[in-house]
Amino acid sequence: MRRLWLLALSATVVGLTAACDPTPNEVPTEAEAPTPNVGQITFPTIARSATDGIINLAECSGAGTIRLKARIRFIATPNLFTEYRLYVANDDDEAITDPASTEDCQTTGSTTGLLVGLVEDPPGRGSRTENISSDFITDAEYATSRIVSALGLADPCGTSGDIHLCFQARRANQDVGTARVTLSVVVDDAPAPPVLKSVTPGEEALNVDWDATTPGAEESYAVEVGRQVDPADPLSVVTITSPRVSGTELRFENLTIGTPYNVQVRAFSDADNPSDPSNAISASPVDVRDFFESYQDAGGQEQGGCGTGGGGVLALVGLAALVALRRRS
Amino acid sequence: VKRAVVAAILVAVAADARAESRRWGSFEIGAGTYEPDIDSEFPGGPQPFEDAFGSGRGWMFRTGAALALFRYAGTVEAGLQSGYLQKTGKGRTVEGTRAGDDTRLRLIPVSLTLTYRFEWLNERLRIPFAPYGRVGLERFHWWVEDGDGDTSESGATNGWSATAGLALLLDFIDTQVARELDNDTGVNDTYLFFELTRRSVHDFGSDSSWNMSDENFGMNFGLMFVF
Repeated sequence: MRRLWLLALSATVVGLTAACDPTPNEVPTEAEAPTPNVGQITFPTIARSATDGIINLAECSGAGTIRLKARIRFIATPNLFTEYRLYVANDDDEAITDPASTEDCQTTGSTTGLLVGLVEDPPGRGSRTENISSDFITDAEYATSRIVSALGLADPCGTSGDIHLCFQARRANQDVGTARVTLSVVVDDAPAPPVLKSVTPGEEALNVDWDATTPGAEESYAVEVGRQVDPADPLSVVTITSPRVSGTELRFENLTIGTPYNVQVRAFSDADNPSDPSNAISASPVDVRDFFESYQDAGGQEQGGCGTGGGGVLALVGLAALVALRRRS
Repeated sequence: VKRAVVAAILVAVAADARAESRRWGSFEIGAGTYEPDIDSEFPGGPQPFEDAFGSGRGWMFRTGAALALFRYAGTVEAGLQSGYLQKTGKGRTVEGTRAGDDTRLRLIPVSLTLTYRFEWLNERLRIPFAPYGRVGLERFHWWVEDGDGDTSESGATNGWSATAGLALLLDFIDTQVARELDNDTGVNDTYLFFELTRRSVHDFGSDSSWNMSDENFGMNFGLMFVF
């Protein structure tokens, strides 16, 4: 065992990244990753966006994935790691060393209330063996629901909290190095649907106004505009969804004048859990006359452009004359 | 003793006069109300401006600088002023009802001005008031925006203005501070002003121009720094 640890000490793992964003992250550069001590595996400290690190209800139930990327560099001893595992735990206390197995990752639920699971997707335990050489880069995706369910909770999507991922590199059935990262599981309730107050027709647009679900809450909203494509088929509805906004009004543009649209608003919690849609209001964009068009409709003579009369020129001439007079005096 | 006192006063006044820096001109910043008389083009007819923006007068913010030309019981200054006004309202549907889209009128007035400020009251009688009169050539640059924020139309309208105002010299509140301000920044006098302005901005009566003249006298106030 001690020998294996010495072998492990001869390897340097430069970085291992974990991110919840389904969009693949770039492999972290060495500048992004803190240089670990010899034999130590670390997750590089990389700023994550507000949505990163949060698993919402939809992701918890299977819609999302967590993508892990690891860059592992072996300086002295090639073929050091032959397999690696990913564990998940609901508590990081004493997770550094499992007292039962002396492995760095907590592999059993030995503490009261501690749940530990093994994520069995590749590259899980025993399912993938790599003859790893220098500068090995791995890139794997896990279903978020799999990570959550690996904890073995009775209702994994019913409780908010942190889960801790532990990456373990192994050789000859021995732990030779680990790294950890914590994800927040936020399974807060979906917000109540907003109250759609008004939909006012605009020019090729609809101005949508609604009341916040919970005043002061950190929520975002998306407006959904549905159009019936086939007048004979009420189910032939094409729905366009706006980008998320934090306010309670939106001008939905690029619509067709005279076409009726069914408008609804949906609220999203801070963890992106969606509400049911709001009440619906139907409206059609209209031709809107701005002030200048209204002025011309009324028979106004102004045509725009530079005004007539040489006022500016006259003023400049006058000013120049005054300055010249001042100099002379 | 009497002679000594008079001499001391004269020396103090002379020292005070010497302490004041040379006067180059003035700078002012202020605000006032304004409402264009565009609807006057349609007597008894539609009122497109009021329909869009309502009947309230808007706030116009202005700033300007002027160069002192002559001094005779006061100062004659030639200057340039500019400002900004924005009115936001609602567009109209083809049927004439109020639409959901905003429409905006934005205005940047530019004025070439000639001002005479009568400073004799303060200089001779220590009465801290300076009445003034100003005439100006006006050029109002304007543009109208539709609900998307796009410019629907833009242009410029010329005219003239006449102003009568009264400026209260604030230096008397603390002469020491006023003197330090002059030493530090070159500001000789600080005035609080109030003025009434008559604007006629209609391209000098052109038939193909709308009437941006003020419906009434515009009331403006602000601060003026003589430097």
